[in-house]
Amino acid sequence: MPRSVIVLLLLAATHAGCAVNLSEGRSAKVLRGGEVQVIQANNVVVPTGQARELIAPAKAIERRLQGDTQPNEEERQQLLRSAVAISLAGPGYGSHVEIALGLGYRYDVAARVGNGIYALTLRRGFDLGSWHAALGARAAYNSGGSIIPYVDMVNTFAKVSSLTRWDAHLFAQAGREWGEWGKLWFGAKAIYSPFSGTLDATRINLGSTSFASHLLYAGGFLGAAVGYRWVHFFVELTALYAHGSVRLFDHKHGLYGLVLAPTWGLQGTF
Amino acid sequence: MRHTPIVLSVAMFVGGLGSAIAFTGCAAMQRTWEFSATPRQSPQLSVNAKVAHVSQKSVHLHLEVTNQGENTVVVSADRFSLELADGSSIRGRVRMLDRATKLAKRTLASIGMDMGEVNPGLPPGDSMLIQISFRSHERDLRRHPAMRVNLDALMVEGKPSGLAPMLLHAPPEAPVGEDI
Repeated sequence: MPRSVIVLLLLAATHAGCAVNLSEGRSAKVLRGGEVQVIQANNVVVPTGQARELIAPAKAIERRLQGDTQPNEEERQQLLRSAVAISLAGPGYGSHVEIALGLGYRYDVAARVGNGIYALTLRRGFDLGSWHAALGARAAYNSGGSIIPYVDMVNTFAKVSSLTRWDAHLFAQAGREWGEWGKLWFGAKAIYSPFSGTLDATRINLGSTSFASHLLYAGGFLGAAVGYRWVHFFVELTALYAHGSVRLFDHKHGLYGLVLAPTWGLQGTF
Repeated sequence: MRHTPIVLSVAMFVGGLGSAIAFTGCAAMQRTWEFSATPRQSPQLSVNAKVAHVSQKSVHLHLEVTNQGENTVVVSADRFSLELADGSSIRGRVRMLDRATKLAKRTLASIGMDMGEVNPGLPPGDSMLIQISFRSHERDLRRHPAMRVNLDALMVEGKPSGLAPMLLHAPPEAPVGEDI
């Protein structure tokens, strides 16, 4: 495992806050009318692509400059790109609470709050014998703020502030349940994520700029839960590939890479 | 400005939920329905359902059993079954507290401590209440228009009561059909 990834995991373990909510944390069986589900989910967002390509070089540049030398043009662009990419990827530990309610006719709705993220989800379920399937859509707003700061400061030369983003999720999932003790689910999802923010690069004589663009995510997730009747412990792994770009000081920067989000938590169904 | 996302989120949730409820109707979200039950009688016993709560995964039934005969009889309850219209069957259990009480009495009697009869006799004209619950995680029991409870599980002097099955009927306003 690259050293940068290890560093990032250590940071993730000690810092809270994630800028994207990638996990589902719910089985494919849509709640029945009047049924209520409460979920407490914890996740660690690991943007492996950015970790390898951005964090280590940015740290190396910072170490070389020691704060009193100006970076060259290539290093400047590297610092700018790393600051924005890491702010958007939001590596670190995050948690949220979700309350879901069955509406009947195989629909359920869920509200998610946590770490500056506010989301509303609607799902339509389908019974396939002993298997279940669901199609869902989620709209999420990310204020970019959190009680505990994000792990988004990979260098002190370029700082992102006022970062906000919307997420539009579309997902399909399938799975089955065993009695009242076991659940398994998997699925695919896509996210369209427009964002905007401000980048302060006055320390490298570039001034400040605002930026706006969007990211596209595509990938899948796999989860399982074990418990009994009302309470289940679940684990889930989401893997998404992010793709997009952003223009900073007249330079276009690519934003891409694999993002992993292992998630665990409790599901209470009543 | 700091509160904008919170206000937005609450508005999204309330708006989404409100419109969803408006479209789907509140009846589909009612968690429990009270079913009606046909009373059953034999020369010895009459059985009336005092409570027939039907929720998504369980049916709670309180049976009032009255001795209509002239002699005291011992009435006990074995395993009940609930039959759905499609022929599938769900096993029911007498309330855990009642089962635990009987088990404790039997256990104490086996070591010589008399805590009273495990199944005391039911004098003529008296009634007793038997609480039974049925649970099925695979079916939405609220969505069935009718179901049958096997009353042969009611034993009189150790023999099946011979009562006809009790029929439970959903109220007319309850949405019916498991696709709901």
